[in-house]
Amino acid sequence: MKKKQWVLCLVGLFWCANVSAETSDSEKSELEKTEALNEIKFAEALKQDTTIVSPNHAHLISVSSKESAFLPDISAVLTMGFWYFSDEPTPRLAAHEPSHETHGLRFDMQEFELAFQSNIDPYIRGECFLALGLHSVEIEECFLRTVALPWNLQAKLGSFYAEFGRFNTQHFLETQPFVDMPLVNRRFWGGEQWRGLGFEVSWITPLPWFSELVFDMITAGNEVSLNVPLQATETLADFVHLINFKQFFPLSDTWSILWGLSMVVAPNNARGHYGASTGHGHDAHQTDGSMSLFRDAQCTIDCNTYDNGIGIGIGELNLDDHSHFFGSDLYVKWRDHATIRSVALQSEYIMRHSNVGGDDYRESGFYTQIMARLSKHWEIAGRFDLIGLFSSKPSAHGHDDYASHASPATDDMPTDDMPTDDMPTDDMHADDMLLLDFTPVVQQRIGGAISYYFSEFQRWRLQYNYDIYKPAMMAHDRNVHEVFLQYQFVMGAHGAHPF
Amino acid sequence: MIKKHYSTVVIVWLMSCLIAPLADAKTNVVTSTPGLASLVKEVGGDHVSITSLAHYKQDPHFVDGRPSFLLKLNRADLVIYIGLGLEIGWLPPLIRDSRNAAIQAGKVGNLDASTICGPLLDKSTGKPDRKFGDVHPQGNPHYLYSPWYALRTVENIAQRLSLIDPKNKRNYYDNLKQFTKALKAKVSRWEKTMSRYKGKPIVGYHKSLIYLVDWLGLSQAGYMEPLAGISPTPKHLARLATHMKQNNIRIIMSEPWYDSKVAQVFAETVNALLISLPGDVGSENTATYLGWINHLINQLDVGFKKVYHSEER
Repeated sequence: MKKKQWVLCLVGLFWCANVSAETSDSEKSELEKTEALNEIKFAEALKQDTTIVSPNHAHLISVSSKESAFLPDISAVLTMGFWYFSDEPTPRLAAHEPSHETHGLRFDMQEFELAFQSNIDPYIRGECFLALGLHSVEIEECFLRTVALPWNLQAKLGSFYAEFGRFNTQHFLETQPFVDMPLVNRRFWGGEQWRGLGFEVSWITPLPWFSELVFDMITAGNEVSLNVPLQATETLADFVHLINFKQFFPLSDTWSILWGLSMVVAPNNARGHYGASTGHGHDAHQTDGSMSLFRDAQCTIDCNTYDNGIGIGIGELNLDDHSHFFGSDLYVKWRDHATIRSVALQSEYIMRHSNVGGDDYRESGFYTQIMARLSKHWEIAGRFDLIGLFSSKPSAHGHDDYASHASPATDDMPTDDMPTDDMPTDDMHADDMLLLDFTPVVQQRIGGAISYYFSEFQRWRLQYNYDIYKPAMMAHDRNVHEVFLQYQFVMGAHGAHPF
Repeated sequence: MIKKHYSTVVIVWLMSCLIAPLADAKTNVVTSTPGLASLVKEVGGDHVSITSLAHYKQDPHFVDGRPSFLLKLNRADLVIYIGLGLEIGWLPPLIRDSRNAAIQAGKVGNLDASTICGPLLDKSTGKPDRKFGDVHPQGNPHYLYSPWYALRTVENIAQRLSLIDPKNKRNYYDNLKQFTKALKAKVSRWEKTMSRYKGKPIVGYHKSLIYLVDWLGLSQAGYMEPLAGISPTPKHLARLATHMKQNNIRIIMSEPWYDSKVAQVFAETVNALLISLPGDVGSENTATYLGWINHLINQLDVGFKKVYHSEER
């Protein structure tokens, strides 16, 4: 009897447990079902998310921890991606720009930036940025900056980007909405932007609106336009002298305009003899002669690494020639307070006027870009570039106006290939023998980019460019489709970027 | 003749530029947020001129560091900011480039208002890590949501103003005394109003209401953001919705710079009330700190009444 009771009890218990389990299971599945439905609903709602918490590259910020007290703020920014070129890429210095030896697909690391920033004492602040590549290390910028000078003055001393225009002053991989640089900046100063060793003094003027006057005196090592080696810099005249004046007009709480003017006078070493060989290009694809850097110079005296970290052989120096630059930049921004959406228009016009032994070479270009921050995660941008505007160079017949079309003489060149030195043509003058290439080219580009910010600290970017390049000595345009897929992350305590 | 005329104009302009700052004898104070500006106004009265860099509609974490701010800082005698990393994305380069030695860190003209506030909540205990979102390792910077912290801040401001402008020290401390009295009277009234909701659970959008919750004795039941600064995900919201339903959590609080549409959809789904708090002093016609907190308490009172009275019925 007892045994029977036990069995009944066990059966009863089992049944109860089963029923309660079934109930809780059904409740659980009901909950899971609701949760899944809610998930779909919220996914829909979030599609229209208008909150932006990372609008102005403030995402590159964090706070130093207690453990790192007295250590400088250290940060690392990795930028890498895939590039596709439908044809040989138009001339560029690889540096921080996506590049490829030929057409096709390439995977590359654009830059790994290591930054160290700290107050040194109550009077100065030190800021150093190293740009690391897969096989290279360079000092991108390293300077001290005063914080306590009187009379509204501030000074910088060290190696830094020239205060020319807007783009050149920025670490563009972190602040600009494109993976590459404007054509005009690339054309005049190469892929590493324009920087030098020297000092800068800037002054906030007493005008009622914000206006700043900047004076830079830096070495003229830029290998694309100036090419004066560091050890040849002996007198004040051997430096770049730059004046920049910028003004800011806050039109309303949401609209603002920043307008800058820049002027430069600098020596150029275009006539510096670069050896017995005038062979062009160690890379066959760089035979356009558009960038003399690619010429395989035979060093007769010394091959050195100058300011911009690239070795160029210099035989004799000739610093009697000068280049002048003029630039105007405009930045118009609208930013909504409530949603923090923003739209920004940025445009720059830059002109280079180089005098070589009494011959004048003029070339100019501009770019205009518009960027819209649509939501917390999405950003879109479009850009148009043009170089070869108001260009001219000396010719056997006088002065050729290059304007925005290649001259008939250049169109008549027989092949796409660069003529060799023993192939004299009507259009080959002294400029073909110059160390620096001032022969104007015509190039246009249109492109668009879309960026997706996963969080404040990482993003993906997809960009397309259509590049139309017309070098002086080629019969046809070279039209290149370019596609870039770029990824970037930021770690550590990175300083805020300026407006 | 013309040359002479031009040189006179230039000289007059230069002189006026030099003399203009001297003519303005008021202490020039620049604050990062409108809330701080209103507190300076309470203490400084007519002896100070005050500018807030951020707009009340703006999320103070993410403000555009406009060059015009640089000019304001250039002419400031004192800069006051919330600190704890709230303005780290935009204010430090402005102070650095202001060409104003008097407002650099460590100088009398530079006041990090968080320095004598305390106890600061939500401090990182271990090594701060980004996997926890956009953390503020030294503490949560939204302390002005609690009037007790505002009181410490005002004392801090009065002390600093007296150092910069000693001849008005008495005025500053008189104003401080008056403000403290008025604030304390209000605080006891606010606390009485909200005492009936003690322990009631709320959900916030961002981790910014921690001091308010602490002051009023509410219970923080969760956030719409899965981690500070990381936007809500459907999965996280769905789980939070289940949690809210299971625990009968009926109040959601958000600030104007967070997406109200998402918050509204979420609130409707979980049958909760969304209380959109005024972001900072200046919103909803609140010109003073007291007015702002008063408006905030009224909103909470109305909201809580609506939810809990309907439950009782």
